[in-house]
Amino acid sequence: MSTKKTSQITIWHLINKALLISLIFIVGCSGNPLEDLSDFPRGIEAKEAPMWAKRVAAGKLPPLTERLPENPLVAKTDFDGYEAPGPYGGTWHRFHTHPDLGTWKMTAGYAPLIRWKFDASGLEPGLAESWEFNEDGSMLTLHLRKGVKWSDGHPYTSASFAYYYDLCLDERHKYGAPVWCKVNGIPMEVETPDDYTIVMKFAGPNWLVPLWLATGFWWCNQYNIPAHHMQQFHPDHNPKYDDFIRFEKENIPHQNPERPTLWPWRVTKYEKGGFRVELERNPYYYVVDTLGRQLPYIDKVKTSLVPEPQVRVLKILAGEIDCQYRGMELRDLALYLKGQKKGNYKVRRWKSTAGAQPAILINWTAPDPVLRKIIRDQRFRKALAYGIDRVKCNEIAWRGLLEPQAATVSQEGWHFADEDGQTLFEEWKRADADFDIDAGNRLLDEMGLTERDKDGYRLRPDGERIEILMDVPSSNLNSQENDIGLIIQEGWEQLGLETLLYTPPGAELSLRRTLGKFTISMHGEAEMDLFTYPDWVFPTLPKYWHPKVGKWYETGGEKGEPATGPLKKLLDLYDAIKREPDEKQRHQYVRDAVRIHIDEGPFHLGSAARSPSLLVVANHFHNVPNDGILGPWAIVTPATHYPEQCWISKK
Amino acid sequence: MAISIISFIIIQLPQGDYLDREIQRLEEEFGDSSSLAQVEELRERYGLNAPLWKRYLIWISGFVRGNFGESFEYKREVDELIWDRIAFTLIISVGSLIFTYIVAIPLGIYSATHQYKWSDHFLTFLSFVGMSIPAFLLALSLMVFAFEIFDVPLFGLFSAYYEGAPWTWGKLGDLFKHLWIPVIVVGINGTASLMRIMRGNLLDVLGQPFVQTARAKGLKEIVVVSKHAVRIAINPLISILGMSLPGILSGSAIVSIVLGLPTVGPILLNSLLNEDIYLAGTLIMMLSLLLVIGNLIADIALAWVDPRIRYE
Amino acid sequence: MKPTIEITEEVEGAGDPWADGGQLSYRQLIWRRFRKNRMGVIAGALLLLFYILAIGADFFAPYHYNEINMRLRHVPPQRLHFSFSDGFYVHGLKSVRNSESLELEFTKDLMQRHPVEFFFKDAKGRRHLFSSAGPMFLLGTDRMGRDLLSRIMYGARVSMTLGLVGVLLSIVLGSILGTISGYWGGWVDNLIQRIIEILSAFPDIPLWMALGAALPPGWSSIQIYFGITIILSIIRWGGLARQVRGKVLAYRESDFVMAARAAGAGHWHIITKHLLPGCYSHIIVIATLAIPGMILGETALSFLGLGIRPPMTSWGVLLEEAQRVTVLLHYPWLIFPALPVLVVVIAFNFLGDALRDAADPYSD
Repeated sequence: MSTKKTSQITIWHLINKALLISLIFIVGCSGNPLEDLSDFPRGIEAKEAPMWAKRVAAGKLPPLTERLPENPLVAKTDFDGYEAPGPYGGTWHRFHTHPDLGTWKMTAGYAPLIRWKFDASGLEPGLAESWEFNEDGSMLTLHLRKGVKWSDGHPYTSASFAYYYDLCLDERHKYGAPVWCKVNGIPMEVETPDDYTIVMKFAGPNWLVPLWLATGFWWCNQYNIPAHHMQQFHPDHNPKYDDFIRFEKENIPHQNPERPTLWPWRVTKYEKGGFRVELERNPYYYVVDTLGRQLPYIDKVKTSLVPEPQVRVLKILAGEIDCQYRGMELRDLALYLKGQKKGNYKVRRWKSTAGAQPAILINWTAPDPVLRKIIRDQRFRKALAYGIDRVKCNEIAWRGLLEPQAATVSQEGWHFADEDGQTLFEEWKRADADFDIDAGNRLLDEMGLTERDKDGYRLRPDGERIEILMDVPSSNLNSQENDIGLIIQEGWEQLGLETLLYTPPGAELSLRRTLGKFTISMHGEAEMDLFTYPDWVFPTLPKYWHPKVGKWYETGGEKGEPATGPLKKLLDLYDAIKREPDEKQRHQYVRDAVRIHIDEGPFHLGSAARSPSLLVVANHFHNVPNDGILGPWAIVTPATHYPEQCWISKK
Repeated sequence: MAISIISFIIIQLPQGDYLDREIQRLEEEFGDSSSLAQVEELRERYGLNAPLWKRYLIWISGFVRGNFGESFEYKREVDELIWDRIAFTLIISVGSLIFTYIVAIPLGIYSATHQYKWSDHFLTFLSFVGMSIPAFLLALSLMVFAFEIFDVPLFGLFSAYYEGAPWTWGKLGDLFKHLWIPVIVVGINGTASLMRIMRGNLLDVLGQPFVQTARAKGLKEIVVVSKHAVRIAINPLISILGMSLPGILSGSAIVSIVLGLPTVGPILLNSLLNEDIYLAGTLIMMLSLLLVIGNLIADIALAWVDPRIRYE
Repeated sequence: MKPTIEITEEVEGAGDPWADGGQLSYRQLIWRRFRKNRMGVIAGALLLLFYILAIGADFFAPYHYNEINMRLRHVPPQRLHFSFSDGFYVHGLKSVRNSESLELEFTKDLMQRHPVEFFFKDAKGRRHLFSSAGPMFLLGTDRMGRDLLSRIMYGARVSMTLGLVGVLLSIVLGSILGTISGYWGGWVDNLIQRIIEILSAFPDIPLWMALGAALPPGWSSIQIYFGITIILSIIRWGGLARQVRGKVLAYRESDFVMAARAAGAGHWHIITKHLLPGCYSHIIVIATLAIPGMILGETALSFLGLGIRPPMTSWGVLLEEAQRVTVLLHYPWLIFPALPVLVVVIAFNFLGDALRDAADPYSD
């Protein structure tokens, strides 16, 4: 019996030992085999990538001249940080933060008819070489670049846009015509007299359309549909389908490797819902460098989904990332700076152009009628503005890296480009932006809110305590919003206003926002182009500080609450913008609106603003601008600097 | 059946729906949600306007036929997203389970048979420390530690080179190289408590009359322990096997979230937060099914080890 | 081993183990045994101390837990010095802003001494056991310049009290139903087992998340947490019930129960006098494991962003705030809240262990 026991013990020992040994063995046999670099780099004489040159030689691909358009788009190099034309080759490793691949589409998913310039000062040609309006702005004609091809070699023509617009008008498709093509509720008509001309006819003047075509990567990814490929999923052409569900799925550009694209890199592998995506150069890409060599320089892109911020930090510190434009947090800056040498990268700071991080939104149509009346008194809003210690917000939530100021849109926006514009903007930034509890208390006393209860809180005219419920986003305990919420609470309590922080669970926050159920809420503010995205300044959509008035405007007066007072004036100005042919005058209308914000506001309050946006660029990664804008979506950055001309030198 | 109803209710509990969440996310991340036009049409298409019971019936009838619905967030079939992740979850969970039992039982026996000796005290203390460390803290610390001291980046399940590569021995080795942190972190809490329970059980059993009888018969202590006491003391441990599964699954979820592992955990958390209901529902159902199967195995094992239960 | 002696004791004990102590009741007996276990007593005293500190945090903590110091962010722990002229004191702080990262970096100002004052009266007239006019952060400060020591004390209040209710509830439910299930067997057992199975077939994280999202929006975070704990304990009793059932199953066929049954004892008698005492030690082991489990549960919840929310603080919140690579590498003192978690959880375990040994009718 005792022998049996001993044998049992030895078995345990053996198993334990085996486990230990295997563990050591497994840990020991590390060592990453390097990637195959034999093709790389090949100098800058070649007009096309070696990987295509080989295929052309083998007769599997038409020669370069047949793949490029007659008049290819030449990538702009007029930015600080452009080094030189680069060699072909290499793989770009990066991560994305969400399966929709948004950060990548903003980098290389931008193939619009008309492009935004990199300095955001206006528009430049894209797929369309030129465009012009008729006299009254009711007809826009676009002239397409001849010989542009989809990534499968099929020609890209005006038929693509017509196909898209037909889909928009198709009842079964359920996606209506886009907002920008409607004038007075009537959608435009599209005509394509030949393969290279698109004519859009509107029911009235619609001067902002070129901006809409250039703005936001989602628009160009919607209207660039490879009709020849998508036809097979269209219910009219394939009896297998009686709805558009399959069509819609096949039409998502980043999820379908078979779907031809106009992007610089085409998707070759899309695994497990975007957990890992691989792309390779588009052989028919229509953009060339200044030497006339086809872009992009880099052969392949490997990007993986990393939703957890801390893992992203470690990935960057470990030097696994070649270049990353978005997805880094400012509070890790010191860590990134310290790790530069070990990780073989440099941190760059671009501009976020944010005008408030976050903006404190005061609901113009607050649900409580008594509170609403108080809020509509300018003195109350000013008092709230005086109660915010913006220096403290900046120091604590943002390490002092930002600027304390009132809530504004982006100072870099083209509306404020000249000296007058900047002067006005500076005034806006400083309007009621001091921390001055005494001034705040004086204003509240002046309003007649002098009665206080036993706890020292001010009372409303109906005898109840003024209670301010502030919605704080719940994304993260550590978030700046929380810290700033605490600081604001501290200040407002000194004004005798009871302030409660509320973190709505689930989707409650966005519901409260869009339905206008909140009193005070928070939201980061930045906008470069107010013509297409006016809602921070003009109450055009059910959002931000004007949910119900925005609803009223959006629905043409059917729902929501009608605009009154300053909000009416703002909406009138926006209507004027839409009718105005002269760009300079349009900018003037925006400035008039800002004047209303200064004189009759504040409608939303600032905290700290203008944070830098972090970039991580490996030392072997070239042609990334030293400075730029990495902010709101409307201007599709960094795609506007043509990231396809980035290149990799041997590590 | 009951599970499916509860699962469905759970995923329907939060207010609002996926599209509200998506709007919120886009606005928080980029300050704009215009890329998500036609919200109402989408809501219609996803059937989010139908009454609850109808949605349930549609979902469950699809589920039993293997059609789990479509993930809103990924815009892909749920079916396509989950199997890999379930496999990795199983690998980590089973690994942790094996780690737990292999380490805990011998230590528990040792501790019980050396009651109040310094080695018992030491093991007791160690197990308490093991039980007290929050898994997420341990995970991140180990990861940072491995990176800072040994300069090995150990996040994820594969190194960059093998990610996306076909399966080879090298890739398998790479997987094991990355696997030890999650396995230890997930297993350590369970190991510690299992060891305590083993020790407690064995001490209980050692105090029983039949053990005293065995001793009285003059059997050697080692025989008494191994032949009589351990077998009885192990019984509750086997029924715990089933009970420890939820803990291990939850633990692996948390650790995976910290370490960014491609298991069910992160995707489940995300889908619940974003109200990606069909994905969340399927994952909860799958996890629940795993647990039911685990419990079944534990029951069978218990009956196999302890004949008395079989006689019922 | 001296088997003969043990057997004689056992024979006596087995006959009527708890009435045997003469004038000593079962409770007194436990207490007497418990006192002999030094570790258990120390653990109990430690827990008592923690609870006192937690409840009296307003007085014991040097600062208020939300006192923000704008320019004293991420101050490393300061060393306490002693001299006969000044008593206990800390040195002053000099800060420099790093030109590149703009982070504040602190060095000691040896010229300055801030003496520690006992029964310090702060600006708002509140008394603190000890504090200082100058900055005195014995455990450093967090990103908002709040004193970590004070935050830990206030956090203890939430973390150490919240779990108790939940554990108590689940123990009561679990042991009652577990005993019933194991003893009667048959359809009762079947029903209870199925219920447990369904409940335990749910991993707790999604349950937490869903319930957290479903609780009324008007609730404060502490109410939400209480809600979740109670719901959890009602669901969690299954685990305990299963273990008790396993125990009862094992004992049910044992000699002394058979003997009791043969002697004509009623169900109630058998359960309360023979089975439950047998499981008693087991229940205590599980209970002591469950209280720290709740404390750890709170940290996990907070980690997922579902637990206590600022401005309230708890150990979970503190640890969550430390969950960053930046913190681990640059501000390591912020992980310190892990220590009290560790100590309290271990103390609970030792206490439970000691109780278990004391309550075990067969020990000694």
